[in-house]
Amino acid sequence: MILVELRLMLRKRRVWLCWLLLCALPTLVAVLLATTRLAPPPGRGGAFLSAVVSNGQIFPAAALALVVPVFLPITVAIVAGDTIAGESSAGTLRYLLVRPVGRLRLLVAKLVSVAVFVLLAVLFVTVVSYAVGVVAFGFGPDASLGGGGAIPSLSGVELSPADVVFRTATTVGYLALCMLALGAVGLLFSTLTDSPLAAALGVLALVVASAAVQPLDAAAAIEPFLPTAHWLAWIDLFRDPILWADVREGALVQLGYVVVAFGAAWANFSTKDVTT
Amino acid sequence: MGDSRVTRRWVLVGAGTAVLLGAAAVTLPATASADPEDLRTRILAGLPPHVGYAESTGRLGLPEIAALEQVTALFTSVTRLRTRYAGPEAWRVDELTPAGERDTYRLGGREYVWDFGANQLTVVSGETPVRLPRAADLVPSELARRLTSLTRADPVSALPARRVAGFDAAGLRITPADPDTTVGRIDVWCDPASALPLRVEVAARGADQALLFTEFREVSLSTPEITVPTAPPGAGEVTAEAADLAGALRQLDAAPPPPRLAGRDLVPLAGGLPGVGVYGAGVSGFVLVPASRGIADRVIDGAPAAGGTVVDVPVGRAAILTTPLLSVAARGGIRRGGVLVAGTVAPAVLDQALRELPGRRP
Amino acid sequence: MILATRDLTKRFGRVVAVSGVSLEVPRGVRFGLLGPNGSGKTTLVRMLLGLVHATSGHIEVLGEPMPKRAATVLPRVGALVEGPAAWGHLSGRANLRLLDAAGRGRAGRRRADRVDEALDRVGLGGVDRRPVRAYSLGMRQRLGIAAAILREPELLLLDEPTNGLDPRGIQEMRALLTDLNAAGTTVVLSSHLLTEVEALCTDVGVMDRGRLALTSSLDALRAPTGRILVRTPDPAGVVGVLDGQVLGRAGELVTVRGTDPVAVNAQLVARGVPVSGLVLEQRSLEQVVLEITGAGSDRVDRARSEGPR
Repeated sequence: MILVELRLMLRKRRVWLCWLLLCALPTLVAVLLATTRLAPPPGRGGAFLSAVVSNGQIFPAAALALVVPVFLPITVAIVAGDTIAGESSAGTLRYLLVRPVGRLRLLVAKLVSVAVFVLLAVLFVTVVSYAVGVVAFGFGPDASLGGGGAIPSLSGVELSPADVVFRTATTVGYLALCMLALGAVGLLFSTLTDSPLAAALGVLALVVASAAVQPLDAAAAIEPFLPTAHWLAWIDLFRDPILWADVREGALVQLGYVVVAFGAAWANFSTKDVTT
Repeated sequence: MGDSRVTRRWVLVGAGTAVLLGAAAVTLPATASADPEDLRTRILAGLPPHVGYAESTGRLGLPEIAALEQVTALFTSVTRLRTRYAGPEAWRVDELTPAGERDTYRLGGREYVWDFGANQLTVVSGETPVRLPRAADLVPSELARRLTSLTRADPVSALPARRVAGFDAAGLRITPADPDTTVGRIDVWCDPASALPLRVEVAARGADQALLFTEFREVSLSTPEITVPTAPPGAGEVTAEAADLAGALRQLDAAPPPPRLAGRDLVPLAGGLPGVGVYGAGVSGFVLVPASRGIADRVIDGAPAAGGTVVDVPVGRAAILTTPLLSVAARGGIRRGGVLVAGTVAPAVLDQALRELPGRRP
Repeated sequence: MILATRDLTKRFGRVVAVSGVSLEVPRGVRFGLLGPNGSGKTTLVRMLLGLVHATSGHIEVLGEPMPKRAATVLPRVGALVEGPAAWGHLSGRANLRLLDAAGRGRAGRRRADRVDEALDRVGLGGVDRRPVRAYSLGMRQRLGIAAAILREPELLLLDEPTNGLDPRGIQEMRALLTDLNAAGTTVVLSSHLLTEVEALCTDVGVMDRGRLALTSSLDALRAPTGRILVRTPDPAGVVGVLDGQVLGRAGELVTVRGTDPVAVNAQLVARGVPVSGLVLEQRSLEQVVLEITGAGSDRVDRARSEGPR
């Protein structure tokens, strides 16, 4: 079922459109910055944007900071909201279930497909924005002939290429986990309704509510448990030495969301009457 | 049949969620105790080497003051800090911002400031007796050291132990005796073995909730190696005198501070910044800083909107911004410039100081 | 029994969709489930397949309890539930292959053959790579049936199988289902079309407002009524000859009491009364169904709609 699910997903035009749009936004920003050379002043505008102009190799970090707060969650909401509700509204859910595909197995396959979607989404953004960044802004001030200039950490220490690859891979994994947590919530919502749109909007409502509550002093007690609270912790991976505290806490919270949301999806879906 | 299965699954999920939340919220009991007077003495004796990550939260409700945004942010928002402390002359504190960091190094009598946003390394030589508060001051260990040294004479009592960053920390409370200060209590929790302060809370007089608290989220008692930072390729490197860093507040040709203000004597400062004066001792003192007329005017103009009060003075204009903990006053219209007065004192003290300030230079 | 339910009841909130249904379908028959729209046919079929969970009652399919043993029962059942459904962005062939691969049991190489064979049987053998989105209603219906027969099931559960098919398509489906039945597959189909059930099924069940109103073999239902219909250009002659036996007269058609049409014919011909047609009257399925069922749920009469809710 998992392979079937992946093949189904990879043949959906909507999925490719999501990936394309995710890569298009950073590319647009890069083109605008490269043509105008008007980087936002340090401390304003998107994270890293001011540093990008002098070293294109930092652009993946800037691109991730651009898409993580809104764009990436929207695509995750669309894809995750579609998982069960999409099959339900298309009528294919009943045929999968009488094939038979066990309900738990179907949920697992759907979660795996969402995980693959988010992982590829983050990966595509990283790879595309690296290429775009280097083309638009070059390899940085001390680029040797043929490129490959050093990348500085936020702490001002230069990072070795192997170190950069490790930190970037960790970032991709961490962000994919954050988005998977959202995807698991989307899967839960998708079992609660037959409308993929309603499920996707539910996920977005959660993101907006969480982002609205997060800065309030009054919400300090629940702040660490909000889904959006740790989305920017990956920036700590580019400090020297790496500051693991928030990344670790974030990963645990997001894993908690995956477990709880998936458990609730299972509890709801395994005895749900399929009437579509 | 169907209904009971539904319930059983949801009960299972509910229980799982509760276990997860419980695991996240549970803290080990804290039992540490130490003689508070002894603990204070040991804090004052010096901090042990340590490496840690701390978070400081300020809830002073201070309005933004032009040219001082970085300072007011320390008292009104969350500051994430990473510290590596080998000794008073060898440490590094990083202020972590969402998209960069500002790192302060102290090594061999010099300070280095790396600002990722500005892509610049600043080497600072020299030292001033008075400077603006900065993020490094909010590291729990440093803040505790500073506050205890300001309140050496005030009574101290024991507090219940508390878990901080995995340590079983013993607590002490300092209650400033001076009726003029706004500081109601200073609570410090320390590792009883090393006397390393782990958490500090400052609350206003009569208030329940702390308005400023800072705490290590993780810390270890290891000795870090501090090395001189170098600017990465493409970054700027500048050298500055400590006195220059007063920046926007610095004023050439400022009048010398009066020898006595609001019943407090001018504290003699070594070296010194022209026009700057510190009055009174400990947490009931305040500081007088010359400011450009523009800054003083902006503070005064903005005061009514920020809940401040306008003060009538013989010459020029003046206003006081009050928060439960910190009071800031400005006086402008003194020929070529103005002054800012700030301290953890009752607004009445600053009010008196504003009135006593000579309207014209002698 | 290939399929048996006992006191099966399903409530959706306060609406009772299926109420106390005890149904038994023997192996090897072609069973037709009749009933007006909203009579609970589809809900019953969904419960048999484990899609909808019964509020109370017991279900056995292929001798095993459902939905408890769905994993072992359902691979031996082919189903078409409330119209066909497919992933619109894929071709029909890809749809079948993926659906087949989704379940347990690996049969990678034989899968392609099985899919082709199923498509051949429903008349879609030459279908191209067009996505299902572009299929006509009839093609989708054929694809749905292909999916149902893909794994050579022992039991076929078909909900409205001829929906959207043209008369030729209906004829083909009928032949296909009869063939499958002859080869040992039990066919259960639900329909609101009497003619379809009458033309195909050996047994019928009639549902009405959630209850199973009747189950019977078709032959038993269509028992002689004890009347003979005589068509003649001389109705008055018939009345003259068979006086006392005549029950009614309408134009050239005379209804006569009796069970032996041969004897009646001999009697009439002997007396010189011309007979153009003569048949033993049997009950029609339509009559039976109309007798025992009320209006369908799609009809809302004033008195009912004003009743207490």
